[in-house]
Amino acid sequence: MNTLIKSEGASLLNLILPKESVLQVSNAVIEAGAKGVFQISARGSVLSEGGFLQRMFPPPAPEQLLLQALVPDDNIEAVTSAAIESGSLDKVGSGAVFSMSCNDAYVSKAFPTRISSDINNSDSPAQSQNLEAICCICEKGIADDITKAALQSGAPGPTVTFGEGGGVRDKIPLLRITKGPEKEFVWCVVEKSDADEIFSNMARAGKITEPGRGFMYSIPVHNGLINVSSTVSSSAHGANMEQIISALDDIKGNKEWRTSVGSGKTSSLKTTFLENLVGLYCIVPRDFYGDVYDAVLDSGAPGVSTNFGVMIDSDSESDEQQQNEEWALVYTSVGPGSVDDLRQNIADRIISMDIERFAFYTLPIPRALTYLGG
Amino acid sequence: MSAEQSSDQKKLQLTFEQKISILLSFAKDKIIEQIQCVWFIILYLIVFQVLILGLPIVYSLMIASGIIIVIIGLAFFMEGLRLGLMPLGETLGSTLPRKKILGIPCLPTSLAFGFVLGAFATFAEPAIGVLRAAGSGVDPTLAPLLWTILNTGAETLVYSVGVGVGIAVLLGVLRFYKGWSLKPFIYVGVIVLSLGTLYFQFSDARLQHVLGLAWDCGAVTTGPVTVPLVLALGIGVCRIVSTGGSSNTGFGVVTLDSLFPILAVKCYALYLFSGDNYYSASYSEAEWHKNAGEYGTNYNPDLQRFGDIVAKRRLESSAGATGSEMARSLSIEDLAKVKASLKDSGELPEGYSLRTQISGNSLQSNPLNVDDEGSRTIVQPMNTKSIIVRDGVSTPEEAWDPGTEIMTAMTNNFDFFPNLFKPEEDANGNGILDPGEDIYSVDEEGLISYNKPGEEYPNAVLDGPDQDRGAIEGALWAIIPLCLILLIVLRIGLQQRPKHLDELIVGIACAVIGMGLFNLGIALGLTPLGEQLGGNVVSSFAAIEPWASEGFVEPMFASSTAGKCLAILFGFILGYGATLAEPALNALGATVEKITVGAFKKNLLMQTVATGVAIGISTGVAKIAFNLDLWYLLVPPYCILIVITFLSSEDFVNFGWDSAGVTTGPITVPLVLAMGLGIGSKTGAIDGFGVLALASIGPIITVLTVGLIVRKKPKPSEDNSRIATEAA
Repeated sequence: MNTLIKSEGASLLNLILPKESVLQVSNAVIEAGAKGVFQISARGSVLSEGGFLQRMFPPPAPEQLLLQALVPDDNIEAVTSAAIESGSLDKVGSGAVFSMSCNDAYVSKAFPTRISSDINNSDSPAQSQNLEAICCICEKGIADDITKAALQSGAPGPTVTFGEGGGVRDKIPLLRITKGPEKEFVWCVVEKSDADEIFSNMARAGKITEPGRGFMYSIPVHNGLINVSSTVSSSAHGANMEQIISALDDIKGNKEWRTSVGSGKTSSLKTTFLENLVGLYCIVPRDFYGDVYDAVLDSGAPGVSTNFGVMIDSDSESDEQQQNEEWALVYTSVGPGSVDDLRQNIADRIISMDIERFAFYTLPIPRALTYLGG
Repeated sequence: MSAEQSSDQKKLQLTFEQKISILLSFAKDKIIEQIQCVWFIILYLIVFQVLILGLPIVYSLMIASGIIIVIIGLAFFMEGLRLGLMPLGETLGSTLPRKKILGIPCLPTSLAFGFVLGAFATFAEPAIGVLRAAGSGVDPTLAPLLWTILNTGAETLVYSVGVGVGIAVLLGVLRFYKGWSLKPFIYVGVIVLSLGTLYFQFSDARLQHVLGLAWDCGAVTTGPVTVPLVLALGIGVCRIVSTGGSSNTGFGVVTLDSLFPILAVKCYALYLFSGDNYYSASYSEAEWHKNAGEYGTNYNPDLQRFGDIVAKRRLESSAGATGSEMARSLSIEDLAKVKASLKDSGELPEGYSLRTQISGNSLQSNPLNVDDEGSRTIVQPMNTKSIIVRDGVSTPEEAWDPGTEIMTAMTNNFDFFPNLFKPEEDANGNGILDPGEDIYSVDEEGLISYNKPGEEYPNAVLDGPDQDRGAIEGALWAIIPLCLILLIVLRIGLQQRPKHLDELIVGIACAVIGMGLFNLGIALGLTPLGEQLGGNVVSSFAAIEPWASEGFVEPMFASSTAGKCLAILFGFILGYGATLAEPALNALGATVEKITVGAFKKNLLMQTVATGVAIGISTGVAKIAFNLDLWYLLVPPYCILIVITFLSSEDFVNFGWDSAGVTTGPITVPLVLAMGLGIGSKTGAIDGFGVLALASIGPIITVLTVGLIVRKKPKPSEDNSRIATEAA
């Protein structure tokens, strides 16, 4: 029977890359020991500095790809540096790499990964949490407002992906057609010192605390290097704004000067955060996504959201035609007490449906924000 | 937020009021969305007619209600696309490459499926009927080959276009599997078509007239149902098969869809031409009756006789023109002059000529013997009008019938299977027309006799394919068969159960309702408005009698060039506004946005395309107004296009060329054709075709150009400045 392998020493590696360098970097990462690399198409966000022409024809946001992989903790450094090496991720505008350490991960035997129960060094390396990832799941069409707010409050290159989500919607019989399942996901990684402000600015811009708008949470980031391009320069300037800022960084020797400008403003949100939740992620092949989605809702999760992507290094059988293998990343967030029950429920359902390849992992969510009723 | 919550209340119970309020607010949003698309073109048409031309709007109440129906219909249809057609196409497309049907590997089944889908979509989409209606006014003596294709050859025309589209979809799917770039297809296609165009242009005048039709066919085949379906299918297929470096994302099929029908029509024209199987060009207006009996070598006798009838009517009616018919086009002084001249010499005075207008293909039939049910009938073309006109002046085209009844427009009495039109001449092959056999023939008095089995004689009509379909019937035809094919292949062939079958069915129902209302609204609102304006806009450079009114309007400008320029400007804004309202373009825009994860905004694409169409249509108006040759305007832009295509990136090439196919949909086509024909009738152009073809080139050029502008990558930073964000 299908037993799950449990591991507490896994990290989730995230890469945000422009379309051009994806092939190169993903190959390097796979060579360095990552397996099961899950690729989601995304778009970057840009603040336009341009003049009339750019306002008439707003430039398309850069197409990017978001890569995720579960990597054992003792391997993460090697994989990360391989990614930086191959994609020159230390250059301006070349992309981002960051990793989050999972609470725990469960994988089925057939799931493509290197994670095994042997690696259990839960004494993870010095958790220097200088970074924090903010993720916002919102109704389609709102993401632009949110990314704009994020950019203006200093978050480097928020990245947007499309996906589906639901919860209340799926409990209404046919009238659910009045509310599409399409959702936008905004991801951005910011300095911990800025995180509060950016978080609340994004929440305010997206009116996340109003009903039916979305859900927002943050995850501590283990380490990372963020160089996502976020401005489109008009050719009138010799250097673009990012280059100028990085030059200033060099001169000042730190980044303190950046925050000093707007520090007078108070920006706390008058609302209650949900605290100390756990994000439960489940990766399954897309064909079974509908069943898993229902299983998650049936097991009592308040809401579900899903990203679709491609597993780029799946064990492709030598068919005459190489084909993509589509997977779905199903996400929900629950209180820490109920996460084990929920996972067990879902896992039972999945096993009873004869799905062989799947994986769970959980990430800590120190705070989250959504409409809380009332 | 606990796990125990909500598992027992799986379905939320809503009260009736809550349901209604959800639906109402939803409907309000959707309607407002459509109003945002449509208001511009409608406001513009009304303002232009009332303020600039200074003419009243006739049937304004009916037009207003038609417009409201269009908006509601569009809202329904777009929901139908979102819930029904597009998910269906995408699910099918993503399943097809992975499974075998009946043990046959996926590639051949996908290809066969693509062919069937493409061909079927063409028969289902009513747009070709629009062209036929437009072509019914063609004079057989001036453009015999074109007249033949549009009248007796119309059925074959539809079939050849269908085969063309089928091959196009097949190739498109094959391209995805093999990961081929679209560019070589474009190069080859454009070069072959350009050479063909040059050959048609310079080899024979009869072939020359077909050019406009051929290019327009390419533009109209891709309608509001086919495009989203084919796009969704392609995207589904590409999700699975497009691996690694291939940048195919599912676009490009529509491009091939618009290139191949052009080729198909040209081939068909060449086939008829080389076989001498068309209404013979040797029949000039003056000598047709002298040569009666001498037909072309491989003539189709039916065709010949029908052509003769049309030509003969032209002559006959010169003597029989009644005072009121003359008065429609002549001022009082003119009338006196013509009457005096006819009285004296029996001929028209210098500077006046006879014009024939044929609108619709209806035939009037009178049984020879009223008592005998099986008797032959005498059939005459019904809507032929001969009008004496002062040279350079004529009455506007009146193809739209103001007597349209709403119920008829909705259902057309559910006369299904109109595509199966077949005059079965001499079915038993005994060389004689027996009662019940279906033929037109000329009797000794020179009148056509028409006999068709299974039809009441007074109502017998020469029915071509589908231009008279009722609104609901047309919608059912366009959507249901295609969806059924898809559902059956998905459910039985691939054993795949769609996730939300109820949503799909609601979506398909929405699409049918929406399409039906939309067709009806166009017939009641947009077409009459467009035709009024199309006829009236000519008053900027020529004297006309305003559409459906009495009296004469003198030209606005003394110089006709200035007036023509105003008409060109009118065409520009008309093209812009109408394109923004096109449902297929909306669908393409939404798909592009989805595929690029929002990087390329729908609005940017729509604005770019609309500008391109506007440029194209104004060029087309210039073509008709100044009577330029079509090839001047087609071949050079396509050469430019090849260069830009070469420079552009693959994804822009894909959706840039696709946008050309989607621009000419149910809103643009009637408006543009009405205007083209209206202007054409004043300037002596033989046909008003070609405008649509030009309207397709414009958007490709603008999209690719914008692509070149916006894709200018910010230069990679040369200095090795490191932003050390790395955590310590």
